[in-house]
Amino acid sequence: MNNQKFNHLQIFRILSDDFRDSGIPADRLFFLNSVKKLIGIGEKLNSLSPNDETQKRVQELKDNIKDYSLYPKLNPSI
Amino acid sequence: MARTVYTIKPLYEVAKNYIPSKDVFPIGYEEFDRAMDGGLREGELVIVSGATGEGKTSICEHFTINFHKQSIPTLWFTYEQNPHYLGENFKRLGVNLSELLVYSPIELVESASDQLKFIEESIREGVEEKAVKVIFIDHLHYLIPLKSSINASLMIGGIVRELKKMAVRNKVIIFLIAHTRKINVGDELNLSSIRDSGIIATEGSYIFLIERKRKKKTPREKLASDYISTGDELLSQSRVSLAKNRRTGKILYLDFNVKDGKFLPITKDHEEPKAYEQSKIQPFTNF
Repeated sequence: MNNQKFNHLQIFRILSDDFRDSGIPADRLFFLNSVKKLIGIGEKLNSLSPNDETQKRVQELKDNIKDYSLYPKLNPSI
Repeated sequence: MARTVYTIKPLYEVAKNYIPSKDVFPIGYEEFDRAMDGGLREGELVIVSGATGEGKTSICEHFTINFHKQSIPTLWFTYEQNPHYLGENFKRLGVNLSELLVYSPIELVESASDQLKFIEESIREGVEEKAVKVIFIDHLHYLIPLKSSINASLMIGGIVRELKKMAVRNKVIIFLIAHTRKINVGDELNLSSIRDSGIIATEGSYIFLIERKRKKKTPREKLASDYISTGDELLSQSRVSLAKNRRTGKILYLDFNVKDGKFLPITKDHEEPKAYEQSKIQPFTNF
């Protein structure tokens, strides 16, 4: 796989449609872990062959899970 | 010779690895949650104690449903009754079992000596695969090897401490159900009533005590019924006391009407929950 093939959008859309907003924490956990794996793949590719486009896509993925919670009904008290 | 591997760092750097989660997990009863500053937190061990048949498991089932309503999955180690009966209890409380966010090991291990290892492996699976956050263990005395030569209290202390460490390691909340020692008729329940109480009370972040309310018999009634029973008449009301609260120190009780296993809070307009009577509580200094 090279950097041009790291098109995360298709996988991310499938994950988003089926799992991202699920009310079941196990599904949300699956979404989170999958996105983290995508980020890992992107970072690995970028370390082997640095590329601005890949870097940008990895950052997009990170932004997507920044405040993501497995338990959306909870209100942080702190 | 210069060290190449360091195992210590400045505290401010180490502390960054231990920032606690901001998540608070309410148990679903407003007064208790308020007393606990919003609810439970990761790494806490909650002891639920009471005499046999007083409703320890039932109140934990209610906590479970309240967690489910907030989409917080729980994992039950149900040693005392098999999973079928636990499921039936949840159905009786009006929930659709197939939608309930409650998990259970497919099979519990028989060997008491392997219980803790088994429990931790199951918790890890629950956390990593199902986002489980709250664990119920019903109950403590099933974790004790009967043939051990070690002093029972020391062994129980070791088990409870290990469960506490397990809660911290896996960032979960563990509810541990524990029996009380035999209570004499008329005795009040308190922290020292918990069987093998010393270290159990010490390790628990919170302790809930469950007690069925009783109608005191008059001496005449006692005389009339002595040949059948010397006990007081059981009422269909239970008192659930938050008897230890490590977070805020606030202790209180709530009364419930109990019907068909359902705990219905007795709420009186404009009445604040009562503070648990201090005189009933053993001095406790481990705050």
